[in-house]
Amino acid sequence: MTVGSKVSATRTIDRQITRTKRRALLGHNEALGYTLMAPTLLLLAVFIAFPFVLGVWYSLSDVKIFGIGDFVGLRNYQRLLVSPTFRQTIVNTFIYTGTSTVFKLILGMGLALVMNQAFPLKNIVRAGALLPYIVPTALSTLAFVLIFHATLSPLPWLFRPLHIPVPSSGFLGDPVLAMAAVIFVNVWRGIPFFAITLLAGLQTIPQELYEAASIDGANSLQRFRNVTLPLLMPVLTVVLLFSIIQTFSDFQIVQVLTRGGPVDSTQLFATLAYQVALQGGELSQGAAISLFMMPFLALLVVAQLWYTRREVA
Amino acid sequence: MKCEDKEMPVKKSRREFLKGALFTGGGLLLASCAPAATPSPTSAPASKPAEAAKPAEAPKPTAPAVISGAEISLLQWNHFIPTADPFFKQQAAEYSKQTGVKVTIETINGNDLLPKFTAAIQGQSGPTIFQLMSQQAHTLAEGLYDVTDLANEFEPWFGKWYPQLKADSLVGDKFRSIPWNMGSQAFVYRKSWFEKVGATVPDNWDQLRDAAKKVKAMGKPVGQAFGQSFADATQFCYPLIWSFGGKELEADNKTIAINSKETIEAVKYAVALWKDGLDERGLSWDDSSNNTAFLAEENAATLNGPSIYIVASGMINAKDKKPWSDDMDHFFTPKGPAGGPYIWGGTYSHAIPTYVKGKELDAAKDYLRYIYNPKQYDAWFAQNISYNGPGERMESHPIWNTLPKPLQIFKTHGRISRALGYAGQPSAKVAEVQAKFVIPNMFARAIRGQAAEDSVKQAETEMKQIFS
Repeated sequence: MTVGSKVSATRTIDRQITRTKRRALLGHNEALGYTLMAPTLLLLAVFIAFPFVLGVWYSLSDVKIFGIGDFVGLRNYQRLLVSPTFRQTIVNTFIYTGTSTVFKLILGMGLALVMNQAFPLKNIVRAGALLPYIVPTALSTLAFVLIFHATLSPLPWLFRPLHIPVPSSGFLGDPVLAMAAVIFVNVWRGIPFFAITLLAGLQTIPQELYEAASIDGANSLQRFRNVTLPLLMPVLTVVLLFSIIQTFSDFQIVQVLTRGGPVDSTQLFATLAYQVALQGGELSQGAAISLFMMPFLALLVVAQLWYTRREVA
Repeated sequence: MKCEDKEMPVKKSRREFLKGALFTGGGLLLASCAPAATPSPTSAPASKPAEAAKPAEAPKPTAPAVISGAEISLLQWNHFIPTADPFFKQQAAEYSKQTGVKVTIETINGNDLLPKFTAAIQGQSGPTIFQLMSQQAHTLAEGLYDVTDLANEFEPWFGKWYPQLKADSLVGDKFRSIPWNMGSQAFVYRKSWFEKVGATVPDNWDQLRDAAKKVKAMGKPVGQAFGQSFADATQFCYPLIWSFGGKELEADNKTIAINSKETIEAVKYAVALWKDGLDERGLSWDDSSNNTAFLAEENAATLNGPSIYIVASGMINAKDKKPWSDDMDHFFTPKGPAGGPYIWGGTYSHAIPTYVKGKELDAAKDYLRYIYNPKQYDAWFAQNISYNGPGERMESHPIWNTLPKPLQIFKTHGRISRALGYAGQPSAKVAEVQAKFVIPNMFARAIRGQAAEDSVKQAETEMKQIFS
């Protein structure tokens, strides 16, 4: 064998070894899986896990605005539990999340059922229905600042001819009305998310099932209850979970519209954490407020995953 | 060794792997749902933090400082007087031409300044110079340089620092910021409407209540904000308490003194004033709402700085073709049982964060020398139109001679303005009380129907938590 042919043979063997290793890697599910996941896990670790761990430390320390602080145990959490403002915030957050979610679900489902029908310009309507969701939240909320403004609001011009009373406190000056206003904006913004996702779920339901139900004498309500709802449930639970998590940790709408007022009546966990940490210079307390959401959200995630696994099983 | 003797590693199925990854990813995603209200240091990766709670000393200046080529930035609030910021930026451009230092001036809403500064200090990256408001120097002290040398250098250029400006900048015995200027307040009112209803210009709070009742009957109530915004509610509520003899702290700076007969009386007065003569939308107002309402002719009077009058002087009344401001004037914040008038000034000061080093630090100090120099400062001051300087010398600035009589009221406010935390001193905890709107919400709750005693007690509880 000549030198050249020996080199060529060596290179061929090297290539074969590389191909074999690559095949081994590609064929080995677990190793391949971790390899493919690695970049994402690295990003999550650096930009989410690390700040989260640091946030937990902050909540257990006395850090103000700078440095690491000293360990103080659960003192920040204990202080929050006796704070009237924080207790008010817990109530506000549950009211805000619960009410918004119910309305988004009902109205989103209705819109999805409508968009599932065939009618002229259906695609344009579907695209248009997405607009509230895709416009940046802070930007769309600024528009509502003007709509609900004490002096510049156009609503009195609309209400008075219709003999609808205009509140003397303005739309954001009364705690109940202010909460209603932020819920309204959240619902307006969130309906498209429900509608489009549920529409996708509706489109996977075979038409034959509806035809069979019709033949069996089911009216539209019965078809919805016995065909649509059960088959839509997996999609519905996912949508609900994501929506509740987002709404529970909402910040932009309240911060732009009311800054948590009047009198902390629209204060949510996120806005209170912002006020305490970044305006009050108490990072430790702000972190504790943020982390208070975790148990509730974790329960939701566990419930949803349990439901999904049960369905799969 | 037989294969069955060796424990074989359990291979995971693809499904089990995906489940594990999903749980891991789901957990991390859940962690991300808690909003970044506490600033995420990975957005601007933190260098190794200095020891907590230990003020940094400014590095000794190297001489000669070669600053050409440095790039510095200054973050400040959006000035309510339209001419002030453009002029200030123009001066910065002149400085850049002279020195070769690139200066960027950024202006944002005042409410958003402190969160940006906090995030910048946490992330050790951000503006080179902070323009602080009120007692923010106390909140951010551990992240700011000691600038006592500069403050002492500049003070003679302005006479002595006004007491409130000095108190807001002095943390312990060190200046963490350098006093810059102050926005004062007085009630602006419509003269013709007051005359129409027979209301006299009030000297005390009872007279104000009487006047408010009369103008509200005409459909033009007095406007006052009680919303959660940085200035308007504070500038009304604190002086009201002081004029009734109430105080937030005892002189020892630690004992909470808010729950007193005097404070309760002040709260009761505010509730009565609300019912009799205030605009009922005030609970939702931010710092610009009273400007809008007054200029929309919805209110007969409101507590504000000079900005309403200044804007109105540029607007012509369609009926008589005269400047709208001809029908406006100001009166002092009324006196109470414990005297007055009391004013809380909206103070501004400049600070340098400790992450600024080297050439940028030298350039920042040089730039501050430039803007505080009377040649530059006096020219910019003329654009401020009745905002106060940091010291008494600015009371004799020629601009005051050109201003109309209604604006002369603001000239000497710097002498009588008082810092928050009375009868103690400003501090980070006093600043936290302000940031959490403890005092304005105390009034707002009573206005909403809570008993004054209960509302004051709740404010006391909140203050005790902050100070504990």
